[in-house]
Amino acid sequence: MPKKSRRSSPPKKKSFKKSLFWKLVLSVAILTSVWLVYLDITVRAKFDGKKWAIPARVYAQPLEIYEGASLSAIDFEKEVKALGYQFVTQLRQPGQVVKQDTSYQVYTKGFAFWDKAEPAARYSIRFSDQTVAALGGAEDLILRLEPQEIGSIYPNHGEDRVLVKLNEIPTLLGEALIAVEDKNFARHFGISFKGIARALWANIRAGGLVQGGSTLTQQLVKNFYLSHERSLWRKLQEAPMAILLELHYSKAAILEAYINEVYLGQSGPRSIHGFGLAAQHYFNQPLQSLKPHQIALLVGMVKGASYYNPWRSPQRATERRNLVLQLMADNQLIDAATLTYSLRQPLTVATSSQRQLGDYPAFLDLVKRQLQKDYRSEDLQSEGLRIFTTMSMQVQQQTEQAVVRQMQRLNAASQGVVLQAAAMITAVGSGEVLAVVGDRNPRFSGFNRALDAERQIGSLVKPFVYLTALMQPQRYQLSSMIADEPFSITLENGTEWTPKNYSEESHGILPLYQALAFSYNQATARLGMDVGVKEVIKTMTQAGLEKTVAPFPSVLLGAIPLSPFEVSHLYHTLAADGIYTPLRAIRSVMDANNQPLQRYALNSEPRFAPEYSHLMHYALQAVMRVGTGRSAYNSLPADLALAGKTGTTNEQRDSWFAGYSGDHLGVVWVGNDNNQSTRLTGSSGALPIWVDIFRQIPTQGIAQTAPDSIEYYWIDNQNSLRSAEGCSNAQLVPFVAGSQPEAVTDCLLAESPVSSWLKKWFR
Amino acid sequence: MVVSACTSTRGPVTIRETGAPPLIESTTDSGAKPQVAIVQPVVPDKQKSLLPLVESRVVQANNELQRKRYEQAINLAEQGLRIDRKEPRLYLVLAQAYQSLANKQQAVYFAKQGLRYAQKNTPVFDKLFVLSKS
Repeated sequence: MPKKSRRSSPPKKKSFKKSLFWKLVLSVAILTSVWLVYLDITVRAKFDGKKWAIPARVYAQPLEIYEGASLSAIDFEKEVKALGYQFVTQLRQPGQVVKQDTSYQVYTKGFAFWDKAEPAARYSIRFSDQTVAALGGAEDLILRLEPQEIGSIYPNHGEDRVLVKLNEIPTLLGEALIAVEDKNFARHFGISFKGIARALWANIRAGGLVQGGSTLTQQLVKNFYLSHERSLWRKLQEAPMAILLELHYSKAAILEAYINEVYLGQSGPRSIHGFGLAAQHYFNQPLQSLKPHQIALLVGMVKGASYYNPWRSPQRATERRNLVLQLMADNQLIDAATLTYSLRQPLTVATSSQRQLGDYPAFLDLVKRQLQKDYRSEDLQSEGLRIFTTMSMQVQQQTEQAVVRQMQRLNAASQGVVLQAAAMITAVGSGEVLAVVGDRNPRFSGFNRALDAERQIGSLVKPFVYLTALMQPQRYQLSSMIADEPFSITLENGTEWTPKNYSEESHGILPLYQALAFSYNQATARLGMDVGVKEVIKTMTQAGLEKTVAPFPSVLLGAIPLSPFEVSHLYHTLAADGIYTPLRAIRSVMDANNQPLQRYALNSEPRFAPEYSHLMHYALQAVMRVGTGRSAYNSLPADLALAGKTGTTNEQRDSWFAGYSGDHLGVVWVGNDNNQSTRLTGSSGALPIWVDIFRQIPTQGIAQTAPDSIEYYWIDNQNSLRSAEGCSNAQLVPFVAGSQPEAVTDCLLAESPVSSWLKKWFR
Repeated sequence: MVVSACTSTRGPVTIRETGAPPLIESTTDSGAKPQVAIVQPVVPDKQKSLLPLVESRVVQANNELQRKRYEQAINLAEQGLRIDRKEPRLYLVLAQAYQSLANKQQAVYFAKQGLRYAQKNTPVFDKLFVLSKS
């Protein structure tokens, strides 16, 4: 038995080993099959499904050109240059402009707007005196240029891309990419042994990883499915996945995916993926209009977008581009003449001033907040929505320039304390927000003071105190006399409240409109206590205040913390003749297929009767003509009718100005984040910024058309009695019909004010 | 010279067509009372908008209204109002369109706004007036 046993043992062992081996083989085969099935499912699931999260694209409002529009030739040129138009001598293709003195011919690029798709078309424009004098070629009497893209709402990982379809990809781009990155692309089945061997040899010689042997398909797999880690495990996955991809999909589909996936640069937190977005980012042009030398640069950057960054390393980028151009010529993709011409071209990348994506953080912040009321964040980051906003590129840029310029001046004089600022410009009537600046550095995307800095508004509250009074026309008129004298009130807690003027002086008895124009605290507090603090708060609520405010007397002097955005709401109601309109930053939203999803229509509600609005226009124009805002006319044309109010808070912590023309409302705040004193008043801090903005934007003065219920009378400023033109102290003042004084003053004939003014003018 | 019982101007009055500088320069903040022409009231005189584009939008918006394409009518009226926010005929389009869309509150609001800018005794005023009371 033992012998037998000894004899039979080796075959059993052999058989066991053999069986174990086959079991192992089988197990490995099964595991490999499961793994391959898993990879196959992974490859197909992602490629067949939605490949990428497409960020929402956000656009400024288009520049609208029509006969009579206030637009200068300079601003028109600035816009078309920012849109990437080329100035040529003869129009041949979309995206070109011909200039002849103050006349232009323009061949638009075509654009799918929210209300209709405008095809590319030719127009002629003539400018005269900062106005569009003639527009030819516009059947609809208007030319809308494509709106500038001002940002995108991309996912947290920061990937941004503009998808291009295969038929939109220039042939030269696909061919050049293959010639440079993967010559055997058409022939291999996902991996190239030749390429791997070549890379292996290069790596052995260098003693490390210096070259990859990846095909385009492998590169796509690596970027699209796998991590960027250089490891054996990744390499092991990469090869079968590349083969599976080639097995299921055509070369064309793989190339299309590669062109949309590849990483081509970084712009702050946003990474530039795909040639579609890269064309816009680097050249401010659609992919289809790129020239061979531009295509060569982008293809060259695939090797290392950061290393060959044309802004940071132009010499290196030029050398790489020229190498690609040479390869294109070697592969007969371009002829010798094109090569010679292209090698001579500069890089022609967009100037930094044209790279505007993400440059308007404060405005985009407002857009996002308004969008979040209607859309989920994940949809905004992934569904490729197109958001058409109300932002005016001209007004935004002019506002930014004014803030930067004036803040540099103020900070230079502020003895080490760095002041901050915020500004907001709104179109009167439509309530469309045209510009938002939330920091003295408008590119800074941190704390947005225009929306979030809630600061006491000081004297900006005063118009609402006077409006409350004037809405009782039988008690108060603009000419009613009021005492600007000291007084005290005992509060519920037993303390005394004694309002004081900024100058600590009193001004005696004076008409209401002057008390507002000069921003006298004592007179205003007296008036406010007379009409009631609760009534004043009610008036503010009618104007658009959404906060609950406790009715303390200090409210009458502006002890209410509000943001510039909230102040804009209140003052917009005053500017728009008493009509309340919720302020809007969005006009329309479309889906990725250009189907309209939502239009943000004009909603408005008359809140104050036209006669009271007219009285406020008058009183706030008095601020600008004779009161605390009068320095505005040192820089602005005297015939531009403007209204506004300065605001300064205790210890000069905040400097405010809110003012409007017939078309625009501007609210400006200057202060310190830590609430330190600015040593500025509303007149010396915020007003110069406001003036600088309104000096630049084309705007119309306030129309002086009085409603039927208003009548004008000459009034004696000294006693509020009826007077007449030419009498001393006579002032023409509007009244709600029937509320005018009847008693008549003695008239001391004064020198004709008109002749006095004319004498001064001609002297 | 003291003259008593001067005749006062009864409004509305037209002084100048556009804004102009103060008739007499203002004084300082010291409390002196300036005599100025702060505003120059003008009599409303507006039949047609000066801008051909606004006229075109009035016509187009009314056409859309006739075709019962209310959203398009609203869109066109809003376009026009962005250029001339005081054009009463565009407020009339908005009021009529919103009334047809059964949004009576917005219809009344727009009618009331239009009334502020419409001349009395005109068909536009009368229509706006009726809509504002509906």
